[in-house]
Parts: sequence; C-alpha cells; structure tokens
Amino acid sequence: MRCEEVEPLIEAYADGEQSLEGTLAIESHVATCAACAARLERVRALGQVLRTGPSFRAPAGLAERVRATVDAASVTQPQVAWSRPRGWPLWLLSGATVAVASLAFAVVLHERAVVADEATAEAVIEGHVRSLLPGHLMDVASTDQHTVKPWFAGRVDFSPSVVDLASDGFPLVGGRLDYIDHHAAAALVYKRRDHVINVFVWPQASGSPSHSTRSDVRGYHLISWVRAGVAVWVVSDLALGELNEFGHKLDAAMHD
Amino acid sequence: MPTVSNEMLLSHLDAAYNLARWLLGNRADAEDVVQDAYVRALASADQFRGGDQRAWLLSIVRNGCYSSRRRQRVRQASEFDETVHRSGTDIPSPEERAIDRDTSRRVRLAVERLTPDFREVIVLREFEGLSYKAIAEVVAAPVGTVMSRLSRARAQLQAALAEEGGRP
Repeated sequence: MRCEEVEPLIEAYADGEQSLEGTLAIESHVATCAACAARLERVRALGQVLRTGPSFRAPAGLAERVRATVDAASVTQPQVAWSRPRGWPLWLLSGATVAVASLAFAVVLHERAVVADEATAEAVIEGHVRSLLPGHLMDVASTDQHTVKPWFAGRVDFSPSVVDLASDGFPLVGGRLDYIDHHAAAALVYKRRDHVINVFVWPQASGSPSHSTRSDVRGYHLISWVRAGVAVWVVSDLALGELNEFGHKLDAAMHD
Repeated sequence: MPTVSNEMLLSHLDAAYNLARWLLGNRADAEDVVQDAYVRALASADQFRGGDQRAWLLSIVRNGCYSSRRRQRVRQASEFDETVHRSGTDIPSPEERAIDRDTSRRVRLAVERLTPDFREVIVLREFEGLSYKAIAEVVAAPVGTVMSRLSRARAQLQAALAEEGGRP
C-alpha cells in the first residue's frame, strides 16, 4: 500500500476500528514507512495526553439526587387514561360508547378549564420572568417564615401559608406582592442552587388537588394544584424532576 | 422488549456527567441536564429499541445540553437575570482545582476551544472510549461524519498543544 492509501486509515486503526484486512495492510506498511509510523504515533500520543488529562466524574451525591428526582417525577407522571387503548377487547370498546357520550360532556368542561389554565400558566411565567428583572424579585427579603408571613397581612386579603424548606435544600429567600391573571397573589421566593423558584398563591374555590405539570418551550416548568381553597402555582427553570420534588415537599408542608 | 431501569442507567452516570460538563462548561448546568436526562430516559424507556444503552442515554444527555445552551443564549440576549443565574459558578470546585494543573490545564483549554461538534466526538472517543458506531448514535450523524469530525478535531488539538510549546 502507498502512503496516500494508508493515511486516511491510520486513525481508524489507532481507534481499533479497522477490519482485519486493513489492520494487516497498515501494520506491514508502517513497519517500513517512517512517515506513516510517525503519523500513527502522533494519534496515539494525542490520545494518551488526552486520557491523562481532565475527565469529570459525577460529583458526590449526584446519583442520590438523580434517584430522588426520578422517584419524584414518576409519582407525578400525568395520568392520561386515554393514551393506550390498544389491546382493549372490542366488546369493551362498544360497551364504552355510552360512557364516551357522557364523558364528552365532561371533556368539554375539562377543556374549558384547560384553556383557562393555559392563560394562568402564561401569566405565571410572565410573573416569574418579571421577578427576575433586577430589583423585582423580593419586597421582603428574609429567610425567616415568621417575618415573611406577617408581611403579607394587610397587603392581601388572605393569609398565605409560608413554610421553610431549607432542610430539604430549598431555602426560602423572601416574598413579594404580585398580580397574576387579574388577582393579587402572594409570591414566595425559594432557591435551589442558582435557580429561583417562584410560588404564587391565591384563594381559589375549586380545582384539583393533584399536581398538574407543564413545561414551556423557553424551558420553564410549572406545577399547579388547588388545596383547601388555595391555588398554588410553582414556576422555575429548575429541572422538572427537582421541581416536582419541591412541589411535593411544599404541598405536604403547607397542609401540615 | 429490552428493559431499562434507573439503576442500569446510573452505571453510566460518570459518562453522562462528563459529556454534559464538557458541553456546558460548568457544574451546575451539567447536573441539571443530567438529572433531567434521567427523567426523560425513563419516561421514554418504551422508545428504547435495544442496542447500546449507554449511547442511548448519552444521546438524551447531549440533546439536553444543546437545548440548555439554546435557552442560555435566549436568556443572555434578553439581558435579564444574568446575576441571578450565573452567580457562584465561577468559584472553582474541588474537581476543577484538581485538574487545574499544567498539562491538564493545557489539554482542557485546547478541548474547550473546540467547537461543540468537535468537542463531543473527542470526549466520547478519547475519554469515554465509545466505538464509532456508538458515537454516531449519540450525535445522530453517519459514521463517516463522525470519522471526519474526529480527524479534524485531532488535527486542531495537535496544533493547539504544539503551539503552546509542548508535545506532541
């Protein structure tokens, strides 16, 4: 083989990706050709330098955080009962048509609720983005729930439950008054590493206590639920799994 | 149907983190993307068609890295929350201090200066030892493209390292 033929094969040879035939041809060539032997040596030397160089290992605790995140996420996987009808026996499907008719009505109501939710979700994201503008994040900066809670008295006509989740790795950093979707809302600000988590709370008579999750193309995640007459909207650019964990901790602590 | 479990995927955690860390350049974003990738991987486990599970996981990590970079660009373009989001990431962590030594530092700088499409093939081949076929799967490109990127990336690294007076 000539050098021009061998040259393009050298890297694949060094990477152990040559066929047996190619391997033999290259080995016999570099045995007699100093230039190609030097080329091969350079690829190998570079590989050695790179491998003795930096490589990042997962930081301590990341595996545990991934486990927690995955567990939290699997609990809140949206329950979509209609997504897998395959494999249903036909008689069951035909028997289900009556149920479908009555369901259709429920779906219309549900759709309406979903549209309203979309508008609220958009308003919540806007509120979150607004809060990240310099000087907009907090009206009351305090990690003490007993300072933040009374601050809201007299500013909103309800008493938001303010809980501290510092021991869970989500420290409370403050609160502010906000205006979401035509009503005053108490905004509680939490942090996880560099990420800001805004929690918007306002009184709302009805709604589902199960956590509803949505993600936005800009990378914001939202979790919302209604419990004990209070609507809670959580928004952040934190990884969805971690945000789910936060949602569960917050929900549990608020209704302790 | 091949099964995918979190514990199996966790055996590739170092590889997942290493790729994300190289593509994103800081620990906080890398951790976020890795966590998100595991959730996504398990949520879409039914789309795993068998084959190389590590390559499949790394392709999800890689996609996460690219979306994260896109988001950051949008964020930087709109010029808000820079201080909120970037604060604290410049303090060198122990892992960074450990590699902040001579040869290592030069290699790191040279690899960091590669464009992401070159950097990812170098990381996957030289640091993770993936086969051409597996790399092709991760970066969603034909094997031939992987080979030519790898070759050009190596040429750039050789030139960069030689330039700074070292070997090779």
